[in-house]
Amino acid sequence: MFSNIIHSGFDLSLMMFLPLVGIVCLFVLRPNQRQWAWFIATLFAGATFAKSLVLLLAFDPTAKGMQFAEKISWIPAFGINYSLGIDGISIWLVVLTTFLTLVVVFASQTVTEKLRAYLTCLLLLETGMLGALLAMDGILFYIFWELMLVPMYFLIGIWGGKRRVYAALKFVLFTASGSLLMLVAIVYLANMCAQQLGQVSFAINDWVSLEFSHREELLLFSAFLFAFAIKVPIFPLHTWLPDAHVEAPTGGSVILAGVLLKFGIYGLMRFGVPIFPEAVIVFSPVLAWLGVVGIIFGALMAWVQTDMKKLVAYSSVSHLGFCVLGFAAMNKQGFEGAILQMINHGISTAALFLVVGVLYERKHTRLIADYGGLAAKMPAFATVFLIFTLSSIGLPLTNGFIGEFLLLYAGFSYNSVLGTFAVSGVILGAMYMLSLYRRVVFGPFDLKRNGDIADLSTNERLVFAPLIVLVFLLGLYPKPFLERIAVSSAQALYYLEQQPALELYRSGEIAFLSDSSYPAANEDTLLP
Amino acid sequence: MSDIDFSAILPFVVLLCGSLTVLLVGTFFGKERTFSRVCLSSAYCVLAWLTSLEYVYGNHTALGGFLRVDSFSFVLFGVILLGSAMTLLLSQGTFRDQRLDASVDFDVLMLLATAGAMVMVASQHLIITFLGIELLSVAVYALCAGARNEKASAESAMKYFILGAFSSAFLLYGILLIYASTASMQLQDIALAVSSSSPKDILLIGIGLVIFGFGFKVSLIPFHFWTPDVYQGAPTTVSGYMAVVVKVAAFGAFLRLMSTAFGNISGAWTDLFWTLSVITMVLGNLMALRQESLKRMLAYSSIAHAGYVLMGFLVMDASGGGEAAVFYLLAYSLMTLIAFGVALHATAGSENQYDNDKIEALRDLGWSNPLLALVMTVSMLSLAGIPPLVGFVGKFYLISAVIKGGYIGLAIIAVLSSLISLYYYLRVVVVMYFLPGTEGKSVVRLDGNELLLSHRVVLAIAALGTIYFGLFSSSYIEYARMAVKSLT
Repeated sequence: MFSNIIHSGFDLSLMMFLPLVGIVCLFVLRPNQRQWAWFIATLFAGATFAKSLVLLLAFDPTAKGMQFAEKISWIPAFGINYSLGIDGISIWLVVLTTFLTLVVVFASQTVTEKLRAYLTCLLLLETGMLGALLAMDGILFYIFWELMLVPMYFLIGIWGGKRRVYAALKFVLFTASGSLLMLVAIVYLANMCAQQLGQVSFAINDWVSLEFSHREELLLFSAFLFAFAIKVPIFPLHTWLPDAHVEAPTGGSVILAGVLLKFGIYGLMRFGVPIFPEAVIVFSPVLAWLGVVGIIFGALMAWVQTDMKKLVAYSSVSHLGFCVLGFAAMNKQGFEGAILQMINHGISTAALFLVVGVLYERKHTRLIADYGGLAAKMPAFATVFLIFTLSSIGLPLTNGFIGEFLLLYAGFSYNSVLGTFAVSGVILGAMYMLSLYRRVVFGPFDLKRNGDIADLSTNERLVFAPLIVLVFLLGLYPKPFLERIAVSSAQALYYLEQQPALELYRSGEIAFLSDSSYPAANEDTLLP
Repeated sequence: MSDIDFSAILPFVVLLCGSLTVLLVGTFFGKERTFSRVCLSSAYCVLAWLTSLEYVYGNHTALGGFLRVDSFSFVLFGVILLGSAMTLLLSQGTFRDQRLDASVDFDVLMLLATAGAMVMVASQHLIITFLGIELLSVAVYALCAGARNEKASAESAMKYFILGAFSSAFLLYGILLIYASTASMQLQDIALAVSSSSPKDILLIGIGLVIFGFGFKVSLIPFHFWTPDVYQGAPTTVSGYMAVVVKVAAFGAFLRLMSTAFGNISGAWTDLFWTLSVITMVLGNLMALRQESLKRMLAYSSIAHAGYVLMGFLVMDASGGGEAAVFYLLAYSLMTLIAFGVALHATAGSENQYDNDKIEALRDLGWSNPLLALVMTVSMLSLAGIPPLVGFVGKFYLISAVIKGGYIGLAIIAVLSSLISLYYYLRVVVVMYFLPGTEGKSVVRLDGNELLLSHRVVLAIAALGTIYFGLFSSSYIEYARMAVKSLT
């Protein structure tokens, strides 16, 4: 998966560190006026986005392996390298990251307090997210993985709502508890490299060729899985998410839902599948069931919320349950659908948080009951809201449909019972989203409370416009998107197909394996 | 006993001359500790470090083999002298109204204590180690009592003195038993005697007592009872000095003793070290959780960090635990210096510094003094082991050594206990940034101008070091490796 290196240069580093340069500029130039700080940050977020688009255009959708790879020895004593690369699994997430950061930075004009610090956090967060997506070295990945926590912690803690301190601490402690165990596993893997390959190595492609005993593999994968499951979040570990979302400022929620949550599935694909294929297969029935529980639980919880932001937060749990199901189904549609759905969810949910943010800025309440009948006063807003509502429930011709369709297909071909349960998630999704829309946009208009409410400003229209374009672009013509995913997901799947266990698993003969030796993935024969 | 290699004892001589010079300057030009005067004292630390540069690669034994200055000494001298120089700079103008500040005694005692710390690290003979410890400790007893009109300061000195004497007694008794069973106090000779015969019970008891003695000095649980009280009561700069220099020196001497003299029987205390390090990490962090006082919190945090360092002792031999411990000492020193440096400002504003060392005193610091808060944030995140700061590299180094040595369980306990620590380190950040400042209460509000130049220099250097060694740790890792290699 990582052996074919195409195109060397420092494009990825340049993109990754542009936001940091932006932070330096923010501090050196000391922009006293809000406008200037906003302008500098937008400039750098825009440049990063432009750079990622250039990479996207140069990305070869047919090539296997990592592209634009970079490698510099960093801490030779530990075998740690600064190595970056990009493939079909990460390319869209990278673009999504730079895009949403730009959107959020652009939309930050409404932040009234401590704007410069706010922008600094966003740009630092962008570097962290890009680094985690690009890192091809276990420690580098871990460093960026942790680096993402810090600015998000500040975003929630400083600009958050009433219970922000609690939510920020809960967020950090939950996510850190997973990643610390992952650190132990990472070190253990490097140490195994020393024993089996003769030198300590944190490179992911060295780890791929390691051989584990069955027990070892399950334990090591559990450590990774725990970290990723918290991030997704998979059902019983989701409790930090609603708190974090509700308390976070709009920008924080957008990034959290739009990008950060994707790192769970991304991690499973990047680390789980190639390194621990057997363990992934062993765990996948559990994951599939938890995914479905997440779909239904999230949807039911969303249905009963009175707070709009909480509703959208729980809908995230539900949507990501689909991704987990797709991943656990372990077939082509499942993998591609999971990656595509991550992008879709990034767009739709981010947009929904922005929609809620628009209302909150005007009336400082997120309770559904405080609104109603907005259609008359805010026609543009109502339209925008409708588009994203429909995209969120996966109406055909919007982006949500393609991903959900692939995932349901994957779910059914994996297990029809699970597929049936998952479909009920779609129905519930339509129920809670449409009822939200109805209660906010239609119904009686409260003149006394909302009489002075204004429609979308030009800036807000500019924020929403590209998101709307994407909703329809992905819905009408998903080919270029799927194309760039296909090769990498096929490669990931290939690792699994090397496992004799997969056939047994697919035919339903095993749930947990007895000890077995399995062929190590051979790097020469990457694709069938 | 005939050879006296003067180049080998030059750093010690520099410090002793330094303390005399500072004393003389104080006598002739008045006792006011101005910026230039403080710079003079810390310049001696720098000079001592420069004269030790030649030990990077070479070994010198001095005073008939009693002292051995090798790359291990060089590396730890660096940490100790850095800590001392920074403490000296930080102490300028921090307790203006108290007599000690106006006098140069502080500098003299500090330089003498530092000389003692260096003796401990370089000593090849148990009695010399003991002398080093006493030279360091006696000076620090006096320093603890520095704020003479504070009850707490006197109490702190008294506690430290009594318990310090207690631990010295343990140590001496242990040395005696070791001498009784090996007929030597020279580390190399002990190593020889130990490897030639199977260890006797009396020797093991001796080693056990020595471990207890050092356990007091580095405040491992259950020998930690003095630490929070003493750190809280002593003047903040002195607490910082104890947390950094005293601890580094004690760990250095401990490491040299364990690996040079008893390296051959390192299996004998595995269980003891395992247990001590686990309870120190876990209980230290748990007890830090509920502290209201910043200095007490830092005291418990320093206890917990001693537990981390001890993990390195457990896997000293092939797994590189010694190197990891040496690296961790540097990392820990930098972050802790910052923490105490900022704690100084949390306490400096009020009439009575002991009433106001609450974490709450840092309220709103993030917005009233952003740079100071940023530096404190760097320190807290680094102490919690968040990458890419030096604390992370240190913890990573230790954990890899422990895993390499086969102690997976210990590694997991270590990361979980550092998860606990994340909570209380972040609480400081919460207070600084997330809680609004309260009007009318005596919340410290420092303007940027109020920070003395010397303090700014120290905090800037330590913060940049915390970031720099986190990102580019390679060269220092090499030094740590070389240092430990020179021990055997």
